[in-house]
Amino acid sequence: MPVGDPGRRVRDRYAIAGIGQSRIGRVPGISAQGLLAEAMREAVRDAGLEKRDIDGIVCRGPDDVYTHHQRMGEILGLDVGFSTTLDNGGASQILSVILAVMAIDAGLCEVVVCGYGRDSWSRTHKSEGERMAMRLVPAAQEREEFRQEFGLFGAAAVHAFGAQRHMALYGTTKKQMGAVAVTFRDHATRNPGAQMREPLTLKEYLEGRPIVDPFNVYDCSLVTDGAGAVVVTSAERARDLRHPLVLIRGFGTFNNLRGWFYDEHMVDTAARRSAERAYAMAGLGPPDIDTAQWYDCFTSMVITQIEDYGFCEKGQGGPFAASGALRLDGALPSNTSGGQLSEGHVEGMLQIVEAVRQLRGGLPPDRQVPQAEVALVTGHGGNTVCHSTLILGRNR
Amino acid sequence: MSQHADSGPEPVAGAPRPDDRVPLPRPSPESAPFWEFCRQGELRLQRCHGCGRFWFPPAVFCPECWSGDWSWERVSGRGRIHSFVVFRRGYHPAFRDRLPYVVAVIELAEGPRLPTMLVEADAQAVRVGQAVEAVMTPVTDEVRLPLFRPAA
Repeated sequence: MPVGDPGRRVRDRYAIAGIGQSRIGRVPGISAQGLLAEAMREAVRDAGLEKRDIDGIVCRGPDDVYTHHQRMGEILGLDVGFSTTLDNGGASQILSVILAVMAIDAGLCEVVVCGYGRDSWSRTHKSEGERMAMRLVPAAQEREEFRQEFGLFGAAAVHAFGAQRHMALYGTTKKQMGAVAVTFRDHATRNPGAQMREPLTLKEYLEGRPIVDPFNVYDCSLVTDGAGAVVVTSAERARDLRHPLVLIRGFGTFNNLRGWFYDEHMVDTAARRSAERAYAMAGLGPPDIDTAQWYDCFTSMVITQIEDYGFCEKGQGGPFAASGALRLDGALPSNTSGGQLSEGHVEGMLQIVEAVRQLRGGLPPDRQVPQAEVALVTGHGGNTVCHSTLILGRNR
Repeated sequence: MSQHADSGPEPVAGAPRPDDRVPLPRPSPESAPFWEFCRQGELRLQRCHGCGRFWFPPAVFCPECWSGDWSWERVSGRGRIHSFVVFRRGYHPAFRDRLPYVVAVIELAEGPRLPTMLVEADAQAVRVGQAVEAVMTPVTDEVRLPLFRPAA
């Protein structure tokens, strides 16, 4: 039996019935939990449901830096049948939706709210003293050796290793990476809620402030306050709710736990096998995808994922991006809200929200992918080794 | 253990100096021997007696065949650059005044890959696949780091 095949049992039987999003960008005076509470309330209302309908919560934990399910339930005033946090880094948000489906399918609950929120901009723009007292990464998750003593800090550097190797093996160029940044910024200029709305030219991109070669500031996703949430329930139940039905057609996960430095994991990522599983479950492939919402933590990760998801041969992701294919009017309209590079970085949660918006339709013409029926969403993280895939479809 | 030695061996050019307050490794029970060998100026990795393979980072048994029969063996210190980055922005006070500096993932001749700082190197001239060699570099009286430099 091919990988993903057992999942056919759940294909098209579950749906995303509601979406919510807090204010995004620089949002002072509210905690990550507060932002997520706003997004979750909005998602439930958007679905046309009430607080009392919710009997499941899944969000990213595992501690007070992130949004923990126990604290969220307390804020929302909910006792529920199923509640947990998970931690797959940026792959967590799609995994939350997958876990919600599994829990509903197992009969543990019926309507689950999933979400993630962060106050990263506020947290990193305090006084030096306050900032030193804060930790973005909990101490327990920090590497205690083989990193900081060699001057190796931050997610940008780790991903820049991958970009450098991709450039060395396949001739990928800064201009091709720039096509990703410039295209997603163009999409953000059409999104009133986006954090970055000033247009970006390729020339400005190439002159961007260096961070860690080969990345400059425009290769890196934003530091954001914000939250997103979705409501997951059965297709049967969602059919009678407010919005056009958006079905969960397939999903997949894969985890290269041997690490980013192992084998060719930097350029042949966990996305490839996660994609295979999701395509198999959905019975769909790259030609069926009308819009993609990539986990764009860094420009090069979009290029690598385009290859891993089979939209072009390995090594051809750079030319693919530079061809204009990712533009709203291109062959594969991608990150149509501006993505994490320009709308705001909420660890993939806003990519799920945007995919649902596109499938429902009715966005302003300069934002809408025409006749979008199938959307691909990706999640990547956990120190670069975890990947998750979600394929959503409009009910036909 | 002093983190800030007043004196010590002459540091390698471009490498962290003793007064830089380089964040020091916090060894685990499994990695403590690795750092002790480094302190003695030796680069040693665990090698499996079952399948013959070396591995890194340190662990309680061989990640390939799960054999618990292994020992710490000296490695050549020679390898090639699997990938590298050039830091242009300081994330830590100890490294701010030496920007730009190169951090690389080295594939040792024996197989395993490890991150390290590349010293005595022109950031513009570093290449994926470049041959490099280890240089055991003191940062305190008690701690030496396995840094690498372009091979002679």
